[in-house]
Amino acid sequence: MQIRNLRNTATLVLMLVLAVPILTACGGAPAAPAATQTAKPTTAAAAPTVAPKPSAAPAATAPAATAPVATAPAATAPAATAILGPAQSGVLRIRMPGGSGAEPDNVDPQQASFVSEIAFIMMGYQGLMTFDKNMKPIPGAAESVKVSTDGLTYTFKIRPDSKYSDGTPLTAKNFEYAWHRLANPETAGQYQGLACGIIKGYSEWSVAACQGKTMTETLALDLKKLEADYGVKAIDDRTLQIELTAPAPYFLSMAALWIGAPVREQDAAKGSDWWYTPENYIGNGPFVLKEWDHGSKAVWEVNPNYVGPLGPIKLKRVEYYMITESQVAFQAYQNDELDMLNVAAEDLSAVQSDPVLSKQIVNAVGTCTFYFGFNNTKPPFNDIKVRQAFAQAFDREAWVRDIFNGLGNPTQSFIPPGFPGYQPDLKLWSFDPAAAKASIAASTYGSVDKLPEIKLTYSASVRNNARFEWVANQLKMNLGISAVLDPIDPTAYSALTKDKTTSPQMYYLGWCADYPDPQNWISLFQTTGQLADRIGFSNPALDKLIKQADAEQDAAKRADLYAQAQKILVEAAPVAFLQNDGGPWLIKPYVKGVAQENITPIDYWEGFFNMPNVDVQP
Amino acid sequence: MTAYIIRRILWQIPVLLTVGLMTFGIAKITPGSPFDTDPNHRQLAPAVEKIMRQKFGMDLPFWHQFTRYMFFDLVGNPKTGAQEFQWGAIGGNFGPTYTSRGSRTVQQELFGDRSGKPSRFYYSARLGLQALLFAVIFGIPMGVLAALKQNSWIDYSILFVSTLFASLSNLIVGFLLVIIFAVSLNWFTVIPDWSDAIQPWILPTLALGAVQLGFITRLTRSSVLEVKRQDYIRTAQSKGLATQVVIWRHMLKNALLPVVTILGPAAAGLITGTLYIEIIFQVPGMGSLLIEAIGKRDYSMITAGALIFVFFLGVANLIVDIAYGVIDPRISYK
Repeated sequence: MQIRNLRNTATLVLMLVLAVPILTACGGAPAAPAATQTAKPTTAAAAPTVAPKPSAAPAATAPAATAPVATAPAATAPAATAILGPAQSGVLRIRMPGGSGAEPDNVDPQQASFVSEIAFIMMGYQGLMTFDKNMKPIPGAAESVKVSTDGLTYTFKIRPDSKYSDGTPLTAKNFEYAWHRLANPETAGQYQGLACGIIKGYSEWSVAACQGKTMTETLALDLKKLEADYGVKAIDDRTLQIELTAPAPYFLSMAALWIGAPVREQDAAKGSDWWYTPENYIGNGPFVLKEWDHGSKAVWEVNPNYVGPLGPIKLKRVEYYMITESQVAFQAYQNDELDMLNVAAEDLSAVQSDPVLSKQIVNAVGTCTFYFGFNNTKPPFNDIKVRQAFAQAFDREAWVRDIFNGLGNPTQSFIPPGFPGYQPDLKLWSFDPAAAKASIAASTYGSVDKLPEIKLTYSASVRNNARFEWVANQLKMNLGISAVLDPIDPTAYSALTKDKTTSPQMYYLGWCADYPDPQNWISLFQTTGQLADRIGFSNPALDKLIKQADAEQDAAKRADLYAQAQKILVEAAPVAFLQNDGGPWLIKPYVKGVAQENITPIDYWEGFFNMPNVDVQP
Repeated sequence: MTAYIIRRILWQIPVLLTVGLMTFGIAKITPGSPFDTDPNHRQLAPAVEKIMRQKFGMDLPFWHQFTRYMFFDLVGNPKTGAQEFQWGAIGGNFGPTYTSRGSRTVQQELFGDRSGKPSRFYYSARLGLQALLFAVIFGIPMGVLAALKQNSWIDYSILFVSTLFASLSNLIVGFLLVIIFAVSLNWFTVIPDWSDAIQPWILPTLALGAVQLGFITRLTRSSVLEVKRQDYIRTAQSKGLATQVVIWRHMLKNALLPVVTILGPAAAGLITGTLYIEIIFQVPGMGSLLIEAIGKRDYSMITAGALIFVFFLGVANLIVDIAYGVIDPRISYK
């Protein structure tokens, strides 16, 4: 009997002990809604830069377990005196940029395509051009560029004292090789399609990417001749000439991208995974890859041979840490092991309410615009009035506040703030339920109850469920429509949305910039454009304006044409623009030169294009 | 005995083939492909996707893709167009990974050195073995001690600790260790420095071993308790054998059988990579890579993961069966 009692007592004690961490986890969280927000840290398909990854799902309980620390940074603040891992002068330690914090899968400049891969490549390499703090293309590895009056010939002069990080000379021949490698059908890079139809002879040579030919068909062609006809040529050691098929002023921005990074032939010849070994990763970028502990960290040291507008560089070293779990990264930042960190949505309220951390917040704008895409070929969205009604029926402020924890900004147009072409006053579809109902009444359907069933198709995840329940609720409240929720597997969803014949009636989409030029945004909505094609949108007036703008050489006229085009786009409402991404970063006070006014949306890491002023001085 | 072992090894072949076929098949049937990326970004141009599909042989019929993966095939060289013989998984070639756009193979990723550093397999296997060793070294003595001192305070405290550990998940133990030892006490760093041979291994080993420790302790305890009441123990005690001899020779030998049984599968699971612990402690091991592959539909990596796990499971079970024969004289293999 006594034993039985003892056992019962022991069980009780045990349960209490088990319950304590759980209770503190719940109690420690700032508020109940925030606790539910933590459900899936990185899964949502709509997270700006992260590809949907079911792998994050098992980590679901992690934030809850760590919540007590997040809210008790007072206890962790003395970590500034930590014995291990204090900040060092001139050493910047960051989580691997590009969203998930995972190691990049391929950092071959002519093959890579993901944000993290690009953030890696651009440390080691520099293209002919680069960007300044206003996102204008400026000469990078080139000293100057001359554009012929017809806008067809670009002549780049390479800086006279150019060297690779190992001291070997960098000439126009190296760039010739890289741009040829980009077009070469053997390379089969994922961004190979970007320059199709722009550089002379590109589409003809890169037949697989530009014309959809098979490898067998490609090999049957006279590839030597096609390469000889390709419009990229080194005239001498310092002069590179690129000929275009049609005037394309945005080519200067394209020449700043990773796709033209001067990979050396002798490095690329070392095998398909030449880039895996730091000894082969020799570039002309601001930094040299000193060590790459795959799956753990990459260590960059300043390139003594770097010439270009990002120098002179004050930093001595930059360290990339591959940390896939954002909670771990947050702990590392609080423990003074990271100097900068993007704040995850689930940590935001903890950061904002903390007296120390809240002072370290720097708000950054993103490169993406998110929207509800309407399938313009399917009823009821083949009716412009219905689309306009839906565009007016959303409370974007509430959407950003409630669903995204205030990360990002509401928007009604396509090009995000900070980018050339942004029109802050283009606001046609402000939240107005009455006007939305009037629009429906003016449509061919006449009234809400005559509309066909509205299905909200989305990639299934806890976070997306919450989002689309919210959307369904908005439709119910503001228009009186009972929409059906239709969650499906993320990768299947992604496959479904590729073609207008299979794509859902209405779904959540986004676009993130490749390069800062309105052409990279607006042109996607011409009839054959990537985004218009996905939703079956076509507007002849818009097509005409875009065609004109893409080739216009007068910068002011060109900007005006794009502005007109964006206005038509917003009016036609093929999609309802919702919000731009962005959000706070935590930046330690001893990191200099990374502040609101000198970061840009296209930075590979915050402050990248302000490099000469960035320093770490603990 | 030798014939038995050979027979067991041969049995592995159909098992591996079935697992390979099922995993490969399920991965392929699952909607989506490695080229369906985040719909918010520039999509792969259809033309480029077509080249990639050809490069990975995804345009071939299913049975052809499977035999190429599993056995061998003639593969066209993209540069010359010539047909070249290529081994499949049975020749140790698990094919190119889709995520690296085919520039690295699965075996390079899992077993190859990471530019001069030990392979991912080394990290997973070492961590798993350390954790298992930790669990066995502490778990078995604790279980025996608890059973011998049944209903004493020693028993209760061991039972308490082991139940606590067995009820927690790796994930929670992992985070608790980070918070206590790295953030609060500053004995360790949150970001590991793998150039140190010992320090970064301690916390993940403890976190991974703790749950196993709980299980092993409880299992040892209950099976020793059961054996303790057997007639032959009473006989041994009554014929005047020393307590130590009774415990070691008669009790433990019999009590350890169930423990050895669970060690096999546990070992296979631990050394082929453990997801949460590798992610929390940023261990460059296999587990995190394999899970990432599922999300990215990296067919070759997914199937290789299943095959490797089943292979190690087979090996571990074989060792367990042989160990049975050694521990228990009633079992013999013919």
